Amino acid sequence: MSELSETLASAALGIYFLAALFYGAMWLGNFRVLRFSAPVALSLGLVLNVVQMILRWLQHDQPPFKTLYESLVLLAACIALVYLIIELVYRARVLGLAAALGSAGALFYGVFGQDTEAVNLPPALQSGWFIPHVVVYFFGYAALFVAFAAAVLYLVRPKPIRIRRGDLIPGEQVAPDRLFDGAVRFGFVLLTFGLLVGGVWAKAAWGDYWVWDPKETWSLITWLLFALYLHLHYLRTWRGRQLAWLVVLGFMAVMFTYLGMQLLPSAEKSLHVYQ
Amino acid sequence: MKEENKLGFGFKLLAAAALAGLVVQHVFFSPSATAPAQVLAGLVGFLAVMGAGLSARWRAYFGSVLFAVPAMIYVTVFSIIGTLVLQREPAEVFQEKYGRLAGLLEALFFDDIFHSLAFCLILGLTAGSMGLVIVRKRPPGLRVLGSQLAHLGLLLVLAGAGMGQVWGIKGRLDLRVGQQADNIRVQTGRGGGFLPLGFSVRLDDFKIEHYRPDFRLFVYRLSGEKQKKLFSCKPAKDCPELEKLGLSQVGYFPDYAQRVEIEPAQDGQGQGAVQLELSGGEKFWLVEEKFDERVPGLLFLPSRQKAEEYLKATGGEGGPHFLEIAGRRLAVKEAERLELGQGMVVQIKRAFRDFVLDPESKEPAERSEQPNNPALELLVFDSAGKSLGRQFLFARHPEFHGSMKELGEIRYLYLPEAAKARALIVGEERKLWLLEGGDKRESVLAPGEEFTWAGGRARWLDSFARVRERMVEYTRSQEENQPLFRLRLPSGQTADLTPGKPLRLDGEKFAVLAPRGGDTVKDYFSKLSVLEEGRAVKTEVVEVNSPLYHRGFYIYQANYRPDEPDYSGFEVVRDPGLWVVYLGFGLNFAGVVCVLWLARMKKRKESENV
Repeated sequence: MSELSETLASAALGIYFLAALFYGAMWLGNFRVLRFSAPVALSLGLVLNVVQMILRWLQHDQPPFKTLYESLVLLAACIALVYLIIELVYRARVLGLAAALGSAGALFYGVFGQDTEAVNLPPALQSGWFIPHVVVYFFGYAALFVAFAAAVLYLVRPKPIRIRRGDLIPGEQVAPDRLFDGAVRFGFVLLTFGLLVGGVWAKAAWGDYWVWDPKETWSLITWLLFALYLHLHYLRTWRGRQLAWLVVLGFMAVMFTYLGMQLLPSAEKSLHVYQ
Repeated sequence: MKEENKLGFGFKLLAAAALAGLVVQHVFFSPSATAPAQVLAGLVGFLAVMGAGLSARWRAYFGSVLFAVPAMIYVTVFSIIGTLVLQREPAEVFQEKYGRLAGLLEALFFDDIFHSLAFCLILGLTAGSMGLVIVRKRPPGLRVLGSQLAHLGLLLVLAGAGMGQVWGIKGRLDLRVGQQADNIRVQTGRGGGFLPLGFSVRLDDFKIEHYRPDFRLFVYRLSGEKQKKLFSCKPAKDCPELEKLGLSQVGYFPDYAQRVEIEPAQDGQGQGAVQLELSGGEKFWLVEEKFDERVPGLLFLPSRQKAEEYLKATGGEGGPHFLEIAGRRLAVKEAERLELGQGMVVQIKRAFRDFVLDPESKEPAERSEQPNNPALELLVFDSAGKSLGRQFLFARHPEFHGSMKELGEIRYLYLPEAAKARALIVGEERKLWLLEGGDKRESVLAPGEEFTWAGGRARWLDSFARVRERMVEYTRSQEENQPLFRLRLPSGQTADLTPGKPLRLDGEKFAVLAPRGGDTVKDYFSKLSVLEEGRAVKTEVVEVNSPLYHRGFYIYQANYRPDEPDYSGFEVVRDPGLWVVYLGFGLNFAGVVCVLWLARMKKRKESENV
């Protein structure tokens, strides 16, 4: 079962790259076949990704969210799913390339850069809060990745992108700033939930809902940066480019919170650092 | 005033507040502010802003984004500093880490930034701003409601945290099985003391549950100080990667043990022994002067002289303390010295019936007269007579060998039933001596006939012979309790891998046998009883994520010590602000959902209808 699980992860990775090719080709020309094959490929990659996680769960009899490898697999699935929802809601595929590359990149880093060995869950993680806390947070990270991609797109191409017939939904204009704004609002709610649930769980496990642990503090910093984004909307002088840069900064904080904790001097005492 | 100017004003105001907090802390509360001082600073900030809000102009400013933005930035910056600088470390650790910079960082209170008055004042000002947002009159709507809920929620979280800081209690409780305590060790600022609970807590039992081990062979490459896993494989399964390194599997014992097999010595050498058969049909050799648990209390001696010498020396007794070394079981006594091999010597310093570590002196002691936790204290010496330290062996916990690997596989058995030899077989006379109450009854031992003694019954099968002991390796079971993996190296030699003992393969590569999944501790549980006036009013099992609650106190399972199997550590917390914090969490989340999701959905629906 272990080999099947790793094979599925590699297969999902390959299909994500294929989806990225299809979405990328949409920027080059009006290829009718891509209209369906791109989202289908991404969906197929997502299905394989999710099946891999289920298999790993069954194999090791614990939710597959403990190691860095497992979290990268989860992140890849969340990015794909969040993007597909955005594609449905906003009826635009301008972020498809970024999302497919994001999923592929996360999975690539996991499969080729990380130890895929499962790790036993320590007592503190054997809690009903484990799954909602981690899953909601990673959906939040995925939404903010999409926001980041839209913000970068906006910085490169601030004007609304006119949709050409055939490749995206015809007759519409897509404003990247509207996209990143929507993704931030969606992701911020999830970050808030993850942060608060983390506090409740910490209280049940360790007797303290907040101990200024580096990971907790950087989760708060990330939350504050996006709260800042939401407040700055009310200022006349903060529009467009400034907000886009703030989203980029916020996403960098997300990535540091996720992957950068071992760089901090107090990391070795943290209960959140991946071993 | 332009937006930029107002923002700039906010930054300057907050900087002044931070400076004021710094100065006040230096003058009145150095090196660290007390919890009430922190809360007071927050309250001052809050009331200052709320008071300023009595003026419409200031209310409009402090309750707006123009103040909220600099406030959030300050909180963010303080938080970042708090993760970049070590927090609440002892002075010597701080000095070693930061050298000359340590003085400056301490002067700015960056070594405990989250409890500094500057930070608390900033939080208080931010809370005041949030208060003004809540009371500000705005046209009703889902977005406004959500904004008020979200800000009210955060305000309640800060208020609840403040209540916890001032009126809350947090302490440690360290207990051993059977012990009870009615106070906890508290930490206040940089000091501490003891606080009575108002009731007693007794640790009735403590257990650790382990994951079923799943051992793998891991091969790593060392690269400087880092190690990179090359591959892992399951012992006894195909592993092509091993073959590529020139290694091959010779054998795998999931539960390795050695036993002594006895076989007749063809050359007349060896020790005397008698072959017996038990009622179940099992045949075995009883070697001279060695007890065997299959025939408790029965001993074979080759001659009358040796039998009488034995009785004189031991009074017919042996045990109850035994050491099992490489499959051989030896009765030992206090003060006895034993050679283990390769010149190592152990001396039995002391035998305990009910071992406990005294919590005050940390020295071993007897808890009671009952054999609840039999233990041996050994002194270990190397071949040169140099002391290697002391080692404790526990009869009830054979897995705790401690850290002295030089001792190898040694196990302590407490067998009180083997304390007395009940019968002797005297070889040359073919007689059975039954020993009862100091008397001796002799009877002839007929071959093939069953005989009985106080420990059981057996049949003597063969004549008395010379036997040789042979060490045989085997696996006790398929459970991976004591795994041993034997590899053949490229040189042709074999090497044994046991858990925790890495094997260097070549320059940079090494192999180690270890359980998949890291730490094998699955859970640990404490059975606690709460006692009021000497009577148990509650008994619960406490584990991580499942504290015990009594009279406002939560008792959390905090830690255990692998080398002290009867120890359990707890955090004890009373937090009167907890429910205020939880209410704040709920309101904040509800407010955020309202503003960001519900209000937007409603707006989108309305624009679609239009």
